Order: sequence, then structure tokens, then C-alpha cells
Amino acid sequence: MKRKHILLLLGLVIAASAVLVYRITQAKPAVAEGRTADLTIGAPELFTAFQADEVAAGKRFNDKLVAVKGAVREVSTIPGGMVQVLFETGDPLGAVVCVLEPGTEPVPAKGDTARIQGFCAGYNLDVLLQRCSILKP
Amino acid sequence: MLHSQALTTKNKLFTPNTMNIRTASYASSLLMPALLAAQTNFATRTGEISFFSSTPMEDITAVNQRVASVFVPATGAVEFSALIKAFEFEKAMMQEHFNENYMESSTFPKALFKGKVQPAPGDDLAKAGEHSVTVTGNLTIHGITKQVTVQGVFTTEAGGTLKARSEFKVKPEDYGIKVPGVVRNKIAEIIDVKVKLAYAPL
Repeated sequence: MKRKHILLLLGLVIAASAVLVYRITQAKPAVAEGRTADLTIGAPELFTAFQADEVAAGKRFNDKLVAVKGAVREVSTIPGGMVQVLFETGDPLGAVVCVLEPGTEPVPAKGDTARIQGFCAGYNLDVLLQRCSILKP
Repeated sequence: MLHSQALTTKNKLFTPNTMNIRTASYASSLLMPALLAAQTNFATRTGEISFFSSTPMEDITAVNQRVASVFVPATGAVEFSALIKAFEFEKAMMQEHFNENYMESSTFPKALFKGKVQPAPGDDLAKAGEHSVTVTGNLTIHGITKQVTVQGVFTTEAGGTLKARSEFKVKPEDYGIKVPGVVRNKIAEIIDVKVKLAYAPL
């Protein structure tokens, strides 16, 4: 009887471990929705940080969930149907680009002041935030 | 999008590893009258690069839709720059391993290409339709630069849009990307890469 219980317990542990491993390996990349930002910064300040020292800014912001606030320069749909929001940065040649998760609403309009959080991927003429969500102003 | 209205307004210096799209933009602003008479330069910040790895164990695909590129038809010069962390995977673990274990994207944040379309298409691109080309240049991945030659197609569309596409293969080993033996059978030795760029006139 005791051996039967041990085998049953072992079976349960193995099954639970298998489920856990499956969930970990199959998990989708994290989205910003419902999470608390690691860092909060104005869009112009974020852009300036990358322009001033891309390596240092990368160490500080990349892979972090960053909440930015600023004036919306442009809202557009990129190939593939994703909506992106571009924040003013004070530099007409560069923006903070936030790519929204599909179905994110309400999408701010050009000229609005908005708060958006997303995972920072770095600087490639623009600063890129991915898998973003809209925060309350 | 391109912020094209702004691209002609300001000159800036760049860090050495930043592609000179801004330089090209500024140069085009200086040369604009001549370019309008002859040819236009093209750029995009929303180009797409995807790759596909297929093995009997697992198929892996990733897409980056934030590729910056500039193309100068008069000389055939073409450059692009892609953030490694901007590649999106279906699964978080794949993305994490790709960035941390293989591409080391914190150390080597960008993939770069700088080359030439041969022969330079010149005015040929003014004609609507598809134009097959050969592109030769230096591809930098994981901090290692190799010369590559790939086939591509430019498509001239009404309204001034110029699209470019290319498919080629990359061997991770050539770029110093080490795949641990434990996952060797999950990652192809040769990766299929697709590039799709929708250029707008500068």
C-alpha cells in the first residue's frame, strides 16, 4: 500500500513537472499589458539618452519594461497590420516608436499627450519599444 | 513611418556603428534638384527581415519589422541596419536563447549590411515592373563581417514606391554563432533569410 502511494506521488510529480516544462517552453513573449514598468521616463529624455551614449542607454533600458510619456507625433500601421505610435523627441529625425500589441485600445491620436509602456529593444535611428500597452494619462 | 518631411532638415554626426541613413538624407536634400531631374534616393524604417530554421525536431521563425534601409539607385549603394532584439519569436524561450546565448545581442546589438546593387540600376528603376538584381556587400552579424552576394528583385510601383525582396541563406557558424550540442538538432545549420523592403522616396 505504501509503495503504491509512493508510485502515485511520483507519478503526480512527474506529470506536474511535465506540465510546468511545457508551459515554460511554450510561453509567448511577455507583453506589457497588466505589468508594472521597470522604468518611467519622458520620450524626449529616452531618445536623448540613446543619442548621447547608445551603449550606456542600452545597458540601462534594453529588455526593461519602460513607460514613456510624451506628445504623439504620428500614429500609423506598419506592414503586417501592427499599429505604431511615434512620440515627439525634440529631434525631427528620430522618434520613440511604440509598437502596440494587436487589439490595444484606445489608440492615441496625433497631438495627444499619451503614456505607453513597452519592452525596449534599442536604438536604430528611432528608439523602439515592443509589445506595448497604453497607460492611463 | 519615414518622417520624410523632417529628413531634409538637419545634419548630424553618428556613432561609427550607426548606418548613415541620416547622412544620405542630408546629402539628398543638398542634391534634391538634381535628383528630381534624374533619380531619387529611397529609404525605409519599417523594412522586414525574417528567418526560418527547419529541423525534424523543431521549426523556428522570427520576424523583425523595424529594419532601416537606404538605397541610392544612381550608384547602386544599399545599406540596412536591424536591431537584433527587434526579432520577434513565437515563443519567449526561443527569443531569450536567440538573444542571450546565440546572438549575444547586448554585445552585438545590430546586424548591418552595406553593399552595392550590380550593375547600378540607374534610370531602369523608373520603369514599372520587376527588375532582377545581384547585390554584393558586407554582412555583419554577431560582430563578424563577411562578404556576401545575393539575388534580389526590385519592383517599381505606381506612386513612386519601390519594393525590394531577397532570399538567401546564412550559416550561423560563419558568424561565430555557437549552438550548444544539446540543442544542435533543433537549430538548422543553414538558416533561410527573407528581406522585404518597401522604400519611399526621400
